[in-house]
Amino acid sequence: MKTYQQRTTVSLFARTRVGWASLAVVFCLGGSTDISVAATSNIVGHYPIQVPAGNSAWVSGLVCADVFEGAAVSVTADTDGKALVTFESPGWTGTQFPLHYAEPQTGSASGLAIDILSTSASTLKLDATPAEAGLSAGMVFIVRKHVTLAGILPTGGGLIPFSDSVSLITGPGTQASYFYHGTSQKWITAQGADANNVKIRPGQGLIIQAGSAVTLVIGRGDACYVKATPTRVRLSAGVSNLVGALNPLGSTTTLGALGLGSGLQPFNDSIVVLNPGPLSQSGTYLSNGANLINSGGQNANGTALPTGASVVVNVDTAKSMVLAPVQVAP
Amino acid sequence: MRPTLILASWLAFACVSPVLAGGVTLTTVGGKKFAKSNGQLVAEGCLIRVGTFDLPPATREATLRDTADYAKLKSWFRPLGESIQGAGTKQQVASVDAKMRVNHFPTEGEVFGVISDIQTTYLPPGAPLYVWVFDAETAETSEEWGIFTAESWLAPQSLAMRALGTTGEVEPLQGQEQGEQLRLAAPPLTYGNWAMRRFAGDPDQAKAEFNADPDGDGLHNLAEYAWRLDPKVRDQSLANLAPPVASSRAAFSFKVPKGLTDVTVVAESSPDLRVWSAAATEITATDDQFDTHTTTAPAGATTVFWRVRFVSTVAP
Repeated sequence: MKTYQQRTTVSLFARTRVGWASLAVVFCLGGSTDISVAATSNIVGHYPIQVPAGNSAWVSGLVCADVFEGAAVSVTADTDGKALVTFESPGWTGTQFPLHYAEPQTGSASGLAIDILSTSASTLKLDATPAEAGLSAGMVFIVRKHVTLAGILPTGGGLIPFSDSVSLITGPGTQASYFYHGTSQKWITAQGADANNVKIRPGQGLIIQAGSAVTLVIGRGDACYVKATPTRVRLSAGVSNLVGALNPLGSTTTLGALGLGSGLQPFNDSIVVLNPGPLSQSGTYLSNGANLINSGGQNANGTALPTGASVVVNVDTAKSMVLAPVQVAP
Repeated sequence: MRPTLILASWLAFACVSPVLAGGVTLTTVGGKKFAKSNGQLVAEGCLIRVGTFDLPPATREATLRDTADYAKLKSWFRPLGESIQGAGTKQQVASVDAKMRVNHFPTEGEVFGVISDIQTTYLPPGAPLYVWVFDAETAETSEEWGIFTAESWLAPQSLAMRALGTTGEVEPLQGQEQGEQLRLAAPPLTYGNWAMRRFAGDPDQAKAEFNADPDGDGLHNLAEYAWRLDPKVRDQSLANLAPPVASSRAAFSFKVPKGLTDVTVVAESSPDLRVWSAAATEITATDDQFDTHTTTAPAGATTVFWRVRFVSTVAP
């Protein structure tokens, strides 16, 4: 049985409406008032996506466990300019985070997954300069392992080995496809190399090509945690960026719920929704500065979008944008 | 003496009398001695506090008998003096000139000390006094304590001295009397007692808050306490998810502590992250410290989420 680390969140029941409603929270004991407090662990679970025959665009709505959270005591630049983020007695080993990223919780890069390049006893070297990511001492970082192909579909998930594929955009204008090797039970590249640890970044879309319709269950691997905080994604200019919300709920969502509208340059940047199967464009939407609009200029915030689906975002200038988090009741 | 001089003298006395104060003497010499629960006499330098507890008189002693949490007891305690290293330091809160004049142990297990200048505005005459004895130099490093009182242990009148002795009847509110000893007792584990000891001496007491996560392992102190983990060491969760496989449903397991009365640990499940309900569980394993509870996804459920909820009460 695989063990997943749980993160706890807390609430002071005496101060929350939900707390008041759910518990008799305050009582008197000998003239003193006690306070009922609660902490909840991080949320784990699984959900299905209905993958049709053909090509369809998806996103992992779950992430891996938080393995560290702490405030940086210093942020400096290494000789190559990359950020060195130091923590006070973090208690990790120097080689602990080979597939991990650090996510700032505040600042201009809050919610952005920044790859960890190397680790020492108390310092993370991140794949960003302090200036470009706005990193500074005192900022809180969460460290997680990236979702990987093996982490999201550990047994192929029901895709047909050597036939069905998962494709990722690996850079501006480049794409790589991966297949499940049924015999070795590994994901492989088109050249047969081990692709189990290929990273799928938070919010990064993936295209699944399936010979026949199949139901995939997301959450069977180590990517089984709900992320309830905003996620920032980097978008490249002049190419198709495939992104989607980290929303594991099994109901239809909307374009507006992605939270991207305010980050789009009005009447310029666009969101393209794809038709599952042929992967053709089913609609293109712009922002008017306040709402997403369709080609007729009508408000398109409520346009239905299958949960778990990703969309194409086209931008003229490279930027980062924030995907809205799924809402979780306390 | 002329009447005016008499009047002047009387007025002068009347003006200063409110600030004249009494004192108490604490002594176990010739009486029952303080000892640990195993009978070992308390060593010199152990913390001894004298004071009262700000609780309703009608329920004060019952409350003191029933309350094991240090933070609660401390929040009610109005100190008169305490034996600390460097005795003589002012310890009487809000008093202008209260001192622990003398504090030493004539022999092991015996206590002698004088607290003088007790202001009646701080502690009214006749207020019941309590002696709170620890088996270490600080509450944070102690493993046992006892709270004792006696009918005659009352705050003194102005200018009067009151002896708090143990030759007569002494009532152990926490601890017990055994033979010629007043024995301390190990208090039950509560969140407050756990946090006090785990963060003893830490200048940043915010780390001891129930919602703090000083080791950054994702488990807040309340979870660390319930799962008997070290809040200063990165730990793994004691909950895990066995994902669904072809022939079985997903199962969520978590540890429920034994012997902790001030915290409950339950699993909640939800199909939509909005409506959470207590998950029905069964005990699938047990050991000295924990029961392992397991809950499985409902039949036919394709989307299920779980979390562990820890609920406790803490002193304000």
